[in-house]
Amino acid sequence: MFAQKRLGKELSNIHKSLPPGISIASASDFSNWKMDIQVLDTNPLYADQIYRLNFKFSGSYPIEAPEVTFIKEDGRDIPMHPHIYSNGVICLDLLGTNWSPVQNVESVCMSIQSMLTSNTKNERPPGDDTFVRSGYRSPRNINFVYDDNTV
Amino acid sequence: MSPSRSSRNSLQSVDLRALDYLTSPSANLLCPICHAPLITPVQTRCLHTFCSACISLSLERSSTCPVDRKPLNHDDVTPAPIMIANLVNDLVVLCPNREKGCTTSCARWLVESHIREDCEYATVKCAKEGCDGMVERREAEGECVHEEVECAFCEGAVRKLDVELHYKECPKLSSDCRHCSKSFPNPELAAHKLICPDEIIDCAASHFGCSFSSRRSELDEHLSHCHFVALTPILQLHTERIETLELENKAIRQKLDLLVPPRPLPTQLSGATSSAANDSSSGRDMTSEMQDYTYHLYSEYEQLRSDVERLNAQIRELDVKQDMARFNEGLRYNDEMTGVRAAINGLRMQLHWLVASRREAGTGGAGAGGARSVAGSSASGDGRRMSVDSVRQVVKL
Repeated sequence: MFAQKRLGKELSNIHKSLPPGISIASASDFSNWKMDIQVLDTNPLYADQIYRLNFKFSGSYPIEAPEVTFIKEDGRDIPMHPHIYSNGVICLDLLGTNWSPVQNVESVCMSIQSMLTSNTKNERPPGDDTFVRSGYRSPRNINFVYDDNTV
Repeated sequence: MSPSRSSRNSLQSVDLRALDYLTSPSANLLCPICHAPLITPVQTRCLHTFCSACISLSLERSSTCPVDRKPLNHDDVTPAPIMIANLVNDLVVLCPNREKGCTTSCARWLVESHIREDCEYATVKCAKEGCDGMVERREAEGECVHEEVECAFCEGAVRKLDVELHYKECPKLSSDCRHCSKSFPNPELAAHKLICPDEIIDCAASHFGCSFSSRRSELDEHLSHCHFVALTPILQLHTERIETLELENKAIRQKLDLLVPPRPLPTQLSGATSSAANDSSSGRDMTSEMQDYTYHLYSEYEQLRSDVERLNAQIRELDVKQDMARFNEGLRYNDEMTGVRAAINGLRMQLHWLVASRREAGTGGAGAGGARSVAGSSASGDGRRMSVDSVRQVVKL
């Protein structure tokens, strides 16, 4: 109830206006939304690419963080980034220990957008192979070590 | 309004969070967490304002202010200035019974009394004497809908209110199955739904990840070769094991939490015990019992530590002893080696002498043989002396 009310408000705000480079792909219910983001500057890693983010909300959103992952869908790929695993899982403290209920879908999209914009390394996180093979799909079950404050 | 009506108060509760507002309120009056106008606004030490319920929920998860992430706990949260509370309470809301037809809108602080006393669509107790049913206030004066009437089909007794509901279960009425479009009497429909061969159902191992679904009659074929189904016993076993391990882990963690707290100094402990002894409150027994228990644990821990220390010392001592013994033995072997080496040297000298004398004897023998053939029988004593001389020469060389 709490989560739905708040998501309803966010949705009506999103339909009114969104920052450049962020658009809504689908939001048919209050448990799963898809957002498209693109990097607007001339970063050669992400130029002319659109990526799709999958938001999964629990009943205790916004007290609890949503699960946010990149997904391959409609020809969208997983962006190359030292904090994004090739199965789409994003290692970002804002989505884990540093989540704050003041954040919303729009602010999360903007954080991820700027995380991509500032990146210059064309690489995956260390241990990507093992991580992807271990089959974790849900970021909630992972205890990330946020070791890198440069990005 | 008749007196009998006003005395009938509605027990319907109002959820302020679910209210809809006539106009969209200023963004400054919205709670940053629920994005709705503040309800029972409270203020943090860092001067941010939230709904009382929202910030409590947030603090349960993380002890920081959601806006600026400064450390924050429940004691740092105080009621917001009354002006803020008045501003949000004055916002005009629509009646929660709007969907039933009420068109009233009023200030938020009045909405509870509107529902309790005025709203025509609020649920109130039925007006009929002795009836416990609930109706909307506007119908309270009419005839009681909780009276029982006879069903037109099965002749059973049904409450007027429930007639529509009853038709769905009435054994004399039948309806079509949604999947196989056969007709069944209503009571049997639920049972049929469980076995309907045309219903689309998921694979039995869908909760382990199989995304297959088909009509019930065709599912058996899939089940016979589904990998997930084949793995189900093992997966089930693993899930159960993980659950038991999690439980065990939790219990162990609790135990650990009990044992880990920092060790109080002996003076503190005795002080606490004496103060506990002075204290005549009911919690005394509990605390002293806890202290006894911790004290017991600490003494045991101390004892174990001294044991370990003693064992360590013993091990060190043994090490030293062994080193000494080895050293002594080494010395002995060294001496013996020198003795053996000297003996070998002596033997070598002798051997050398023997070899040399042999060689001397060979050459001397040949010369002496020649001489002997000249000098005849006087040779034997001279030969001996000569060989001694040659040995001397060799030694000199």
